Amino acid sequence: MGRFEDHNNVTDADEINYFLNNAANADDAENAAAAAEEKRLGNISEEDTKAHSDALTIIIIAFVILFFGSVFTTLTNHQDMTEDTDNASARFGKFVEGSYFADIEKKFNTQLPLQDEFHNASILIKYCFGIDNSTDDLIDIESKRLADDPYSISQTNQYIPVNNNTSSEEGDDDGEVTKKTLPEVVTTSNNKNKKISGITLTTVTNENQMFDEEDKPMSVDRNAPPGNHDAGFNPYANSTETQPTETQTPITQPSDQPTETASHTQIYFTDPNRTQPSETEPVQSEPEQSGQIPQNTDPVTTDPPATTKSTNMFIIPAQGR
Amino acid sequence: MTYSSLIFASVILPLSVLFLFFDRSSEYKNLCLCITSFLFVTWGHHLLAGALFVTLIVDYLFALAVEGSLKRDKSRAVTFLILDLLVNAAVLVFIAHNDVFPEESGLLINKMFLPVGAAFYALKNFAYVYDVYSGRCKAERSPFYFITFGMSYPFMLAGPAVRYSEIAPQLRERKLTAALMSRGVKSFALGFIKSVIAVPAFNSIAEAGIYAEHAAGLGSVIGMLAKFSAVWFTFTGMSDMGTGIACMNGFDVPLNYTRLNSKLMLGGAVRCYNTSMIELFKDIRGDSAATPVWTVVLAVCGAAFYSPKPMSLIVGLITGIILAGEYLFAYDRIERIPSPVKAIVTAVIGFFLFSPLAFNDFPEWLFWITGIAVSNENSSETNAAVFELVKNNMLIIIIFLAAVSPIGELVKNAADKLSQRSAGHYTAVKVTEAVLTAAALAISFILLAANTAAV
Repeated sequence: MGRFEDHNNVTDADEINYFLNNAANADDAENAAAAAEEKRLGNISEEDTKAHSDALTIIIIAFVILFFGSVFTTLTNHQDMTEDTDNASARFGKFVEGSYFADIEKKFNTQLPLQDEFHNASILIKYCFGIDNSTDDLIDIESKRLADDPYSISQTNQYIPVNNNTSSEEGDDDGEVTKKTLPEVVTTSNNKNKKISGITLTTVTNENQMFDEEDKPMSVDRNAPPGNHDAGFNPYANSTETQPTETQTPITQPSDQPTETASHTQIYFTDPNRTQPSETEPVQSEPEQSGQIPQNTDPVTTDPPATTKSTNMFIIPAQGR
Repeated sequence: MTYSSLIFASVILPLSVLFLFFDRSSEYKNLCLCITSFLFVTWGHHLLAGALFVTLIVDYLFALAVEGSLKRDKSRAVTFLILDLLVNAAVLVFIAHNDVFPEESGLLINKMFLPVGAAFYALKNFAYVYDVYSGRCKAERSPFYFITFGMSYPFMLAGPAVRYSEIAPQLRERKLTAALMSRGVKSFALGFIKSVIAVPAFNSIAEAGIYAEHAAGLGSVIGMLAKFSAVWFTFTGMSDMGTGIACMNGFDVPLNYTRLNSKLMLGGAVRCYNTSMIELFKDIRGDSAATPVWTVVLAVCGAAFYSPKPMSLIVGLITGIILAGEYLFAYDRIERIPSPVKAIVTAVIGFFLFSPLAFNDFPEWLFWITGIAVSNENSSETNAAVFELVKNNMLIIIIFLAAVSPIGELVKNAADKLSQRSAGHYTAVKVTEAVLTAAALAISFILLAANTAAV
């Protein structure tokens, strides 16, 4: 018989106490249930937080890896790639020998995009962290681009044909620099072929300028076949300027002043029909060479070479094998 | 190709991980892993370098034979175990350490035919057969799962050379969770950062201090310390990257090293490095009256694993004798020694004991060690070069050495405590960690790209 069923023996006080007790237990029960629910929600929240953090970590770090991967693969410089003329059996032979993949890696490493930018960035990073206290090896990318890039031309100028006679035009003073604008030649929508909207041809003339063959300014075409140094008429030429050879006295600039383009003494012509580099093309800019471009007119000083050997970071010790 | 190659880290690894998402089944993941592993091992080598995996057949059959023999005749099981040991030892000596043989011996193999990671491959496969013998796991009946275990390239370069018993269930079923992927990318990034930033810095100081013509005095000591640091970060970096790649492939595996400590003096320090091999040796050694003898033998075997040259074997022998002495002295007595004393004694012993490993022969090491005390007018110039390099790389030295020291442990504990305050704190700590790791990773890519283009 339950407590409330024995009405003869249950007193009012008992009933009141019973109700109070039950009421307190109910509150505790409700509180306990609420606490349990809150704890369960807290656990869920903790799991969600961890999953959220994990997702953020993946996104942040994977973004860096994928970004660099896509930069290295999509912006690869294809200018110097020659066509693979091997037949299937030769390719299979290379695959078996292992040189197929080795060539892929070699091409990947040598044709990395933005090499100069990466070089400068690495120097600046090392400088910021105090690893190297010198920024002398920075490459002047803009100057290099203007000097090396055969398609580097001003858009406000036009093309005019160039003849063999480099004597000054009528009415010009001897030795003055004359700028001739050239008519527009080629426009294309191809991303790889830049729009040639005009070229500036700067000629430096001298009244005693009667060139012998060997004194002729060097004309170099990056894409010209070997031995073709003809500086004659070229309707597709997009040269920039003529620089005097060593036998001539520079007219436009004092001879004792270093110039930004002092290292470039050739005319660059480009013929779309010519695809092979010239034998006499200037040495491709490399960080250690191009870095000698002075940033000011003060004499360039270089630090003595380090006494330590260079380290190949890819050497793995024996325990790595 | 190694983990820190530019083409691997930026192209091949992301592609191989992305391919895993095309199907959820473990069999598909295993197939992708096998293909990527074969490509990784034979990259830049002759296709016959992949013939290394033919030895998997030997291990597979020997494991079945050992398991079958255990029930009937234990001596036959021991015979099969020893045969498997000889096969894997042959792989270790003739493939992993082929450069030990002189040219006139006729045993030199063209490097194009030598795959990478053969040493850890042999260790892992022998550990599997031993685990079957010791009853730790059952012999795998499915060739496909066993081939996946044997070929997996994340377990080949500096580990984690996992035990088959730990990984067998994951070969059959594993999921690519966010937690695992997060751990994987972070671990790979940390290893990559160590390999690209720390290792070259320490190597340059080591070269200037140890191998310079007039190395002597403080410069040679600093050079040797830098050499130890370079070796540590090379190994741990590759282990981090291997673990990260394994996690990205869905495996939950431990690192192949622990934090440096001198709790058990030299034994504690040795156990921090290549923990997979240490655990296997502990299992083989057991705990009996012959334990000290086994300790010496296994120490020599461990040294031969890294380099079978006489110098290395002598170092292994001396190390084994010291470890046997520590075992006999009883570890509980060692633990009662004050920690600073233990740390100093372990550092000094380790410095002189492992320094010969940096040289090709004994006279070179003798020349270096006598030079520590003797300085001449030429050595001051060498020391100046060392100090200059230390100065130039001071930030890298501080950051990376602090990370492996108790300071790094303190910082990590503080960050963990902060993250436990609330969900917001947890997210903030983890995101900060990820951002810093990503920034360091980006710097590593830039430095590596600049160096790759310059070479």
